[in-house]
Amino acid sequence: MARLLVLLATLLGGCGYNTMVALKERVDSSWAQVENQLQRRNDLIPNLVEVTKGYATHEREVFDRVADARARLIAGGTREQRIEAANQLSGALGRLLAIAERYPDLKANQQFARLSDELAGTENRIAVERMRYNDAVREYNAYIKSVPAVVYARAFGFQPQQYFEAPEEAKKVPKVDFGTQGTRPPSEP
Amino acid sequence: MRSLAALLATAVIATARAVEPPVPAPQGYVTDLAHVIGPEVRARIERLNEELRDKTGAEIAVVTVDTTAPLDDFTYAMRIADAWKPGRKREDTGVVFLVATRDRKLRILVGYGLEGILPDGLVGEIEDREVVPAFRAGRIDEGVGRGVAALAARIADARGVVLTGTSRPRAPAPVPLPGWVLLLIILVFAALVLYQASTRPARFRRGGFYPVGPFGGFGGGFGGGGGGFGGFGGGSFGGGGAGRSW
Repeated sequence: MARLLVLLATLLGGCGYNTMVALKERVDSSWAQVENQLQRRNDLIPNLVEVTKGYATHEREVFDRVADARARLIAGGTREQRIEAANQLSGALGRLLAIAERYPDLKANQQFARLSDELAGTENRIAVERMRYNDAVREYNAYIKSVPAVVYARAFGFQPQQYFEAPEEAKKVPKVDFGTQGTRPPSEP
Repeated sequence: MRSLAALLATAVIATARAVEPPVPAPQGYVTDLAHVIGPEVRARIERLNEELRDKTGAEIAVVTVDTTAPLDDFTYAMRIADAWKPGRKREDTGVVFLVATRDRKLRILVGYGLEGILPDGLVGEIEDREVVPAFRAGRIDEGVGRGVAALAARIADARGVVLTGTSRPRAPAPVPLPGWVLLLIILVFAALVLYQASTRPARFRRGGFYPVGPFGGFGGGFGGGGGGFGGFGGGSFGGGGAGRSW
């Protein structure tokens, strides 16, 4: 009986290969979407930094940190390295937007408002694509780790893929609250 | 055996955790769960939406709630967008306009197909200029009305059409199908779906065709009951847009 089951499982595996290919394909295409949004964010940064520098001249450290993380992301590397760099950049950008709270003139600047909205929107898009990517990875990983695929997935070169995990603080979209000038205290830190 | 039971238990817990608070069903172009939109503004938004849909295919879904808790406003709006799918299918020309009155949060999401016309920066500007001042003054429905008007005007402008603010005289009211015809259609359709499902292994079904899919789209149409709203078009969203608190 047990032998029959094993035989059956192996036979079913014939179709399993195609499934693995399809699932892996979905992982890769979702990752491409993540990359698109990371690229979009990278393109926004120089303008944002330029505007901010005009008002906040004493914030060298923050600017350097953003530039560093951005350069690291551009440099490429493995998916794992890119995820780490992307998270680092999220943190640095959060800090960059936070300094606006100390410069009322900057906060009132229309171009800065527009660029911060674009950046916040892009962070949201990254979050959406990150979620879709993680869903694809979850399905793929579960498949290759379960019977029958687990028997031969590695032999065909199907490795478990890495999740794009964002650190807790990066999940919060960096926020500059244009809506609360002077009238109400921000409801959240 | 015990470990299997433990595994099962974890699976059950995991599924339970994955169950998310349900999003409300759309009640038309305006789903006013916080009861803050007056009849006049509601009628204006509906007229504008009908005209906008006729001329450009875009749809602006307005939803007001007390609070989006336990979700944040962005995640909640995204859920609404994914469930309702305003905007024409494949063109993705939808907008979700969410107001959470107790949270004092406002979130406008823009479908993929309108991201070029309504970039995040512009959406934020419209919020600052048209919506937030009225909200601060406590006039929620005025803010929503002005915001929707500004978004619609921008879309119309970019598509080269003019919105008159008066929808076409309600075209010959669609002849209402007798209930039994509708039932028959649904039954035939269901039979077809079941037949297909029984003759083809699940794995080979075309992507995107899941058994519940075809029925989902009708939800709004039957529920609405009023004024020309036949459900949203099927647009997709990627997270573009902007939010404010007031």
